[in-house]
Amino acid sequence: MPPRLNIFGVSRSLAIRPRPSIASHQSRILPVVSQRGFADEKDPNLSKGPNEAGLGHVSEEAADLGRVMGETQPDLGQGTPVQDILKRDEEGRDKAPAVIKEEIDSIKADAAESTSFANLLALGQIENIATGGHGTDPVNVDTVGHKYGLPELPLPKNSNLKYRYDPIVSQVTNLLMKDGKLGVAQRNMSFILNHLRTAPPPVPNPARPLVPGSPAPNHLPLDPIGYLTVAIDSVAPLLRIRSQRGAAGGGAALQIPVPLGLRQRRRQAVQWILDAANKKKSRGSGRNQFALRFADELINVVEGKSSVWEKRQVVHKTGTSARANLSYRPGGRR
Amino acid sequence: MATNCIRCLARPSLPPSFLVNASSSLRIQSLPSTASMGKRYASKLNRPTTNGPRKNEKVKGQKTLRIKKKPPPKTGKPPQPGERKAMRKRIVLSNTNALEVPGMRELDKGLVGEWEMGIRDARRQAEEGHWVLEGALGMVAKEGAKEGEAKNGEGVIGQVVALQGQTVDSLRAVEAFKTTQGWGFFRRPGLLIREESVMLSRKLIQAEQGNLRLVIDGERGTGKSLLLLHAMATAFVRGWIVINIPEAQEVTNAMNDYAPLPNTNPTLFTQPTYTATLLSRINKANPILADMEISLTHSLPIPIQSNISLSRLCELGARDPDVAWPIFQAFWAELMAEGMPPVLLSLDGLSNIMRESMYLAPDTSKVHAHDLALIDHFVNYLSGKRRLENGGAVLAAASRSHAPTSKSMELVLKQLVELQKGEEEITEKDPFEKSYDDRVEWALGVGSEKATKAGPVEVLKLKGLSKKEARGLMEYWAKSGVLRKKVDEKEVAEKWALAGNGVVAEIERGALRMRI
Amino acid sequence: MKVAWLPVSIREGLRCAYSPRPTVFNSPMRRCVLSTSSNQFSTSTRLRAGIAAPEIQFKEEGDGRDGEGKIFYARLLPESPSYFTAQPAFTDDLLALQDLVRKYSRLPVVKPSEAPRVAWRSLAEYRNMVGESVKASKYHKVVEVLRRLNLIHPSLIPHDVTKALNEYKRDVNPFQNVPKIIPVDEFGRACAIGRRKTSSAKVYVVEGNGEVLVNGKTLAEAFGRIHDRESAIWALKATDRIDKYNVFALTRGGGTTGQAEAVTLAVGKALLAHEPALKPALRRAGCITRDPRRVERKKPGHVKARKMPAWVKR
Repeated sequence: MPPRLNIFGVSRSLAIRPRPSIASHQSRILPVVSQRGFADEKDPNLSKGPNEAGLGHVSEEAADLGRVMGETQPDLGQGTPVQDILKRDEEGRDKAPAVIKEEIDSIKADAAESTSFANLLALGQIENIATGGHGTDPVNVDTVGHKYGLPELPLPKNSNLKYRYDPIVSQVTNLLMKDGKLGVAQRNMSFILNHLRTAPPPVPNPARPLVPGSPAPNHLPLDPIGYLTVAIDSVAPLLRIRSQRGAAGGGAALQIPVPLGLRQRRRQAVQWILDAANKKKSRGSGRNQFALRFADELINVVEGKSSVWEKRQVVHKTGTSARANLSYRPGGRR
Repeated sequence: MATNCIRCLARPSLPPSFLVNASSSLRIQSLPSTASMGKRYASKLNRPTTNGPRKNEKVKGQKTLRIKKKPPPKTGKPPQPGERKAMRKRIVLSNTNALEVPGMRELDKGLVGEWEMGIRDARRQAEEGHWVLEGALGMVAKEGAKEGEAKNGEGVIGQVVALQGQTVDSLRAVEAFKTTQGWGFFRRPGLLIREESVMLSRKLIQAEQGNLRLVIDGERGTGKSLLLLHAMATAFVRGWIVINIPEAQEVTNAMNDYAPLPNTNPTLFTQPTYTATLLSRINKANPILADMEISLTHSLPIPIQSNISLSRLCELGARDPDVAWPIFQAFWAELMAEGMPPVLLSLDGLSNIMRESMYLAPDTSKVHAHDLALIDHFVNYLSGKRRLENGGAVLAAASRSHAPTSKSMELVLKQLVELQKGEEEITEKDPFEKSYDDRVEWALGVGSEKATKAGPVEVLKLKGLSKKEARGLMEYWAKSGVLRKKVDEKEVAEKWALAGNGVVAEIERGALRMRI
Repeated sequence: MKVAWLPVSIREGLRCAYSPRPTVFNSPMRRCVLSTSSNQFSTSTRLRAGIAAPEIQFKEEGDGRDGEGKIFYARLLPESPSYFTAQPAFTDDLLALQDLVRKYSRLPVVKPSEAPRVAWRSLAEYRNMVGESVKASKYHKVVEVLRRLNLIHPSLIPHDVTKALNEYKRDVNPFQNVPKIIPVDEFGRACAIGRRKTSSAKVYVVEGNGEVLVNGKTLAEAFGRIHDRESAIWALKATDRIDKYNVFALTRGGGTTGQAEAVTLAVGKALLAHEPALKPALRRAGCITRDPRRVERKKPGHVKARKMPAWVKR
């Protein structure tokens, strides 16, 4: 096997070395480059003499001169931008630097590009007035790109394909769903809402007040979604109890109340109602019996007869008694 | 051999000490002589019951993922017998939560009278030569709608009219309302007046002087049963006598008792219980029967007085299923007598009677539905073999839900519709199809030699609502407070398109049930 | 000392100081050298110059006149001044580009938004190309210079700049991949295709009165669920155009949900062909977004895509 050809090795073995490394030249370059030590100031204001500072701005110079001469000085606090001056000065505009010209042009172009519809409308109205008409005259908005008028943006919230149902309805539907069968859950949901609006109006129990701001009970059936919302929000717990293991000392669990968000609260309420509905016995037969039981449970909730209210009360009582534990922090006091 | 048993680990059912003793002293009879056989028998007979861990038994400390879920304990008392069915069949006609719709017209004599006026106008104008009167009067009257809308009663097209209390009671008695129809949403039952319903009403009014034989057909959810209900309501308002078979499948699905009718060829079968309930329904639905007395003499198996009312006659038949059929025949003979009001015979679910029924004949062949006495009676009038003497109509609605297919019926209805439209090509029979039925063709008034003079039945093919009708319907819902949306052009167009070009049941499902 | 870290001026100074010969920062040249040595086992297209300097040609005694103009160095000179830096190839590249910038700094430039969009090579690709472990921040410097060069007005861009830029462009320019514009044909139809899950739908949208046919059936017959029917014509519904257009759809594959939402996408795209100004509205309505989710594949060792078999002791 022939030895592998090593090019690097060859160059290393050469007696003639390339030119010396850069390091040796550093001293020659040094004076050219200003170097800054770690402790030096960032600004290169090195030891300036009394007259070494440059002259100030034109207006500053004028102000100085005025002070010396005892004349009126220009107000340094109030300056006029060049653009404003150029606006008045036709001649100056032509002779202005290219940069400023460009800037002015770009402002105009931007305005034309990104004007909103309302703006265009207003511009059109102004134009109408300018031509001797009234501001209320119809404005010809550009009709390129559409045939039947554009929908008003932003679209209403429920016009997105994925959020077409009322939030609470879609949440409850998903909670009713079993085995991923959304169609069945939606059918159940529609049965529930229809049952709510055909059932006799509920008679609320004063001991179990509904969520504040809920409509009169005899108005509830006409708005089944409102009915559902009132029922669920009324029994929704405000908090849950988190058990911190070993925090109470001796391995005992410390109960810490944790506030819940809106969706979390509703979810808990629906779970409770579902439990109660599953415990009920069907009165009839057919495939809508579960929905019927759920709907009956909702009516019971509004009427204050449901066992869900007790569950809520238990959670709230525990939360009240455990509120001293709110200050618990896992790492101890800090 | 006993040692074999021991070696093969099969435990004999006898205690070992006894076994050892037995093998030494006396032979055990049950064990066969060969060792191999003995092994097999022993292992079969003497299953180890206690020794060793069993396959499915839980080993101590073993964790499995299978957690047995306990069904939640049910509370409350179980439903009474019949309660569940009653709940399933319950029909709610009113929702006290819904708002009362002000200014609703009623389907009363006045409204029907307007439609009658429409016919007269059309006829008079036809005589004057303004336009040619063709089979469908409704079509003709449509042209004159502009000038005399209110007069002809066409103004109500696309509006919902309420049913009168008396009519509602009668309709409930003939079981015209169904559980799947959304009656329970509204304050009081109302009917949408479509173009077709006005047309049908006019035909009914005309049929008082003649006979109308009509089949209502259409896609699923296009309102066939409701059009039948509309016809019945019109008939009640006009003072007809209505005999309705609400579900044809109940007659033919062999859930009722039946008996051969003597002296018939081919043998007809009566259904005593069903006939009895039918008589009781007729009696309940038609209060005018109470004012009519028997005019003919009948030979009945039970003695009856000569001057009882027809209502009483029905009652007698309803009381005793054994005599129900003869009494039904007697009752029918009375209806066909001189000076009686017109009769509406109607049936829902036509395809159920256009095939073999589920009943078995004595030779275990299936009884054709037309061999059932009641169906035979209906079909005789539908085919035009017999005439309703005092005028009236025979209506049948096809059904698309849980309906068997009847090839002949589908074909005939298709051909008739094509004939009515005046198309050039009429669908031919499929030469390879075996399940065509001559009796069905005869029943619909077509067919070769047995065809009657009366000609084929008329067919009313229903389609989706027009946008105007859909809008009227949705406005009614909005006024009732059940549709919480602004009803405008856009909303109507959306629901109309979603419902497959205005299929009325789908509009209801899309607007009231699934989207709230 | 690494040359690349020093400011440009110093580097220039350096170059002047120790390299009397005009340096050539030209990567193609290096590439030429390399292409001859083909027995390299590396994925890199370009390799570090293996030979530090060209072979030394000693002056032949016979013709002293010949080598008159050439300067002879007694010591071997590296080909590139960055030979002793950590990443000589990279340094060379950067210097060459910066040279170009300096050279053409007076050419007019366009606004960054108007410059042609270019996808530069990714860091991994570049590393692979030069065969050196270049840091991301270093390569970013190169990209910045490239961007500056790309700003030169397209009509005036010099040939060598184009050549240099092409070296750093990705092989496939993703910005050239623009969707085809859907035409409205002579019958007033716009045809579009939509997909969802395993379904696909081909849809013709014509101006009309709100009739919808899916596989020759009405909407109610094609889709049992109201939800699916709504999905199918959501684009028309969200823009209030249900009674303005007719839809004829052919769907295949998948189930009802997939087919309905495939129709959604197709109707949305076809509607855009009729009325392009509706794009913002349709975007917000969720009708022109392809939902890329599909059924997750089953994996070996799993019962389903993610489910593991039950744990059994022994």
